[in-house]
Amino acid sequence: MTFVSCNCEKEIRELVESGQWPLAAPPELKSHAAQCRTCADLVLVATAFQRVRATTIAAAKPASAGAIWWRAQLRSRQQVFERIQRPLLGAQVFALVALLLPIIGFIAFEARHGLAWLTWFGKASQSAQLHAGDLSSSASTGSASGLIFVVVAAAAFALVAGVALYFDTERK
Amino acid sequence: MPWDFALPNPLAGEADATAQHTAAQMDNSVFAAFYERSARPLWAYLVRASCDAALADDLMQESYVRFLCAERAPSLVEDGEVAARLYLFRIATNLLHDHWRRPRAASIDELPEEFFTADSTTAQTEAQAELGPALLRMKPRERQLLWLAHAEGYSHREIAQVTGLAATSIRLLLFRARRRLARILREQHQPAGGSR
Repeated sequence: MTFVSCNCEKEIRELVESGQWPLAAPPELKSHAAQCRTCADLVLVATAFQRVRATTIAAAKPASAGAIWWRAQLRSRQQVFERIQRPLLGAQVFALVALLLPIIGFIAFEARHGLAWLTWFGKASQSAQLHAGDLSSSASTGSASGLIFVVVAAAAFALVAGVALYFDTERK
Repeated sequence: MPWDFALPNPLAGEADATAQHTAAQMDNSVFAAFYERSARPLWAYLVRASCDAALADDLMQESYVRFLCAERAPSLVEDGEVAARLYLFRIATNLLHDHWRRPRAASIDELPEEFFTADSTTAQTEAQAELGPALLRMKPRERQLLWLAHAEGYSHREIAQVTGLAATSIRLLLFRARRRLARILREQHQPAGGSR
């Protein structure tokens, strides 16, 4: 299909779109449109579209503007809420990481230095098996290890509390 | 009519401040007037391009909601109604393309015409009209181009803005679509004739 342009296209198109074709068209333009294939196509198609546009627009039953406006407001606020939520979630994740890092560091440090507090557990279990009465003496000898145990327990509590707080905030 | 009473108001200050840049930028009454003038032409475009009245209803509402929520949408007061209307048609065109892409992972031009001949009452009504059957034989993109050019009266540059196609290719695409449709229309009028 070869592209063929015609100088009269613009004039004919304007006349058709304004509803003045063919009544207000000059006779020479009408005779040209009858001979020129490009302009004949334009007249045929454009007039058909103008007629169909009028009937289609008349058949349209758009929803009320208020309902559209309301939906847009609702979505707009939802978008704003999501935008605000994003940094909050980031802050929560950061807080959790900040809590976990020292705990992991502490555990790593302890593991590197011989797991002294684990030996306390070993001693305690052995003494419990042998004599229940000797447990107090075993605990007194490992007073330094007991302090570490308290620290670990506190860290574990902080971890669980942080996670619980995180999920609670997320749920809300 | 105020709608705020029915809406949740999370983080009131921030929400209202941001809403000023989007939906609330346009006054409710200004939007209602714009909607009154543009809704029917937009629906006509969507229904003729998709051949599905129900789909046109959905896409029209979604187009307006996105238009109101878009931060970069042209302002009716500052940019004028023509720019706003072009932006609206652009949103609608993108929604149409998204819809056509969704069921099958093919280009809209490759989709069979049966897909667009929805079993809606509108399509059946159109089949009785002069242009309806001819349009159903056209490709969706051709219908879009022809409607924007000859029903809405948009220039090639404006059609390029709406469809996202290159402005230089609009002229040729439109010429081909128009010639094809003219041939179909002539065939309808002269079924036995050999018109070119």
